[in-house]
Amino acid sequence: MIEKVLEIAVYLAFGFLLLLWGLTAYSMFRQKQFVLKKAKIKLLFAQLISEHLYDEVSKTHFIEIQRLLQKEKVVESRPKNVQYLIDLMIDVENYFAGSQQEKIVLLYSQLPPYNVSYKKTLKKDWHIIARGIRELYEMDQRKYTKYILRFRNHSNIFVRREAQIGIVVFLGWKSLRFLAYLKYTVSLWQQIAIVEKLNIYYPVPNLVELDKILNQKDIPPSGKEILMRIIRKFDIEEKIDYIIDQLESENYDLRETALFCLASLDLNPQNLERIQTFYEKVPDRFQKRQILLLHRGYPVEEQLVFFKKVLKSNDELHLKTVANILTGTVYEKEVDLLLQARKQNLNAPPNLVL
Amino acid sequence: MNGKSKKSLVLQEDLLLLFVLKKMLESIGYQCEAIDNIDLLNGEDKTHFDLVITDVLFKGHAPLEFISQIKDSLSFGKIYIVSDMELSKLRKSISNIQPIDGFYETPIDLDKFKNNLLEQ
Repeated sequence: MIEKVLEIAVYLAFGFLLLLWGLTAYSMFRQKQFVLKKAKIKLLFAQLISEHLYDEVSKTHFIEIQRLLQKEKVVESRPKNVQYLIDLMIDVENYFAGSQQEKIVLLYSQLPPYNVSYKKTLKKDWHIIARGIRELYEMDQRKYTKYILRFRNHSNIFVRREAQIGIVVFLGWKSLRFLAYLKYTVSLWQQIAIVEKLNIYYPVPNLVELDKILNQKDIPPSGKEILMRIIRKFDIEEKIDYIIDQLESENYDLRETALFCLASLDLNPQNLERIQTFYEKVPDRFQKRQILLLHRGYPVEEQLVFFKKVLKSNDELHLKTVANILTGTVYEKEVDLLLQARKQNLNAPPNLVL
Repeated sequence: MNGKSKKSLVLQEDLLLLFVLKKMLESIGYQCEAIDNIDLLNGEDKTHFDLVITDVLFKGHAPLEFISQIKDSLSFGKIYIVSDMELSKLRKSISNIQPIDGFYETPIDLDKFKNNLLEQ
């Protein structure tokens, strides 16, 4: 009896193993088929796009393209193939710039799978919606600008991330207005992504549009951070004061971003003078030190009055920072004497310039 | 173009770039050979190309080694590098091996590139 049961168990195990092998082999076969299909679709699309860009376009041009794609099974019933075609389109979009891009966008608007991206945004899964939005802006489908705007404050971070980038890609400097109406904090990663996209697509600053948003009241902190990063990235000298003024903020992160941006900008004497007025107001001693460090590399003579004030303070960190900045200048010895006198609890030695 | 058309060679692993660059060259009168697998390059073939447009990133080949290989195995007039890769750090090292007539990173403005080729 036991032998019989064991025998059946062995057969069952063997049968299960066979089934597993069969399934693995089938899946490998399907995968291989798909790789081959992808190669065929890529070859066809490469031919189509090159002919579209450089050959004479006949009346039946787009119908012919659609027919060829259908022949290669790029049809709605084969979503994987359609997705692959979309990925290729995005690649082409990223490869070429300038006047040829218009032709590429025209071609996309005539291809059947193009609606697929829009349909993705109607789904419930956040990752599908986000992907759909991404495809729409990557393929420069500007007629969906207003539609994408709806998602800019979506409750899912990935969906609103793509929507915000899409708005920047489509509307450029004008899009910055959305920063005044942010419902959620924008992460550092996203802030950088927005600034970089703006720089790639709209490298020439539009000061009129920038002014409009800078003059808006009640911009959320992360919106202000993006604006500061934009001023820094595009090196907009006349707007540096906007960054400096954020030092007055009660928000630590906002001040931190302001200090980060100021550290990599060329500051003029007026800028430095303005920064100095915030030294006392900043509550954090490490950020105060960063304010001092901003003065490194600029002519010392113009900062002497300010340094003198700092040297009277009792914070050793700040004293050392000023001493460090003055190292290598004619005031080095005087500062050393001053620090020594402080150490020994003496009054500052007389006849110091500082 | 008058007389015999000029010969050109495009080396790109990516088919999209390969086909578009080939078409662009043909549109300005070049006779164009397009290759997506550099192992197909035959060192013994002594065809002279007036123009070569190549990537520097190919499977199994380091960029600088590849440039040396091109220099030794091909005979050409002008050479341009078109790549999806950031070239800023490589430019100097590549130029030390082989003087390059132009570096183009994606996204490429094809019209500008074409005009540059026509001017030279």
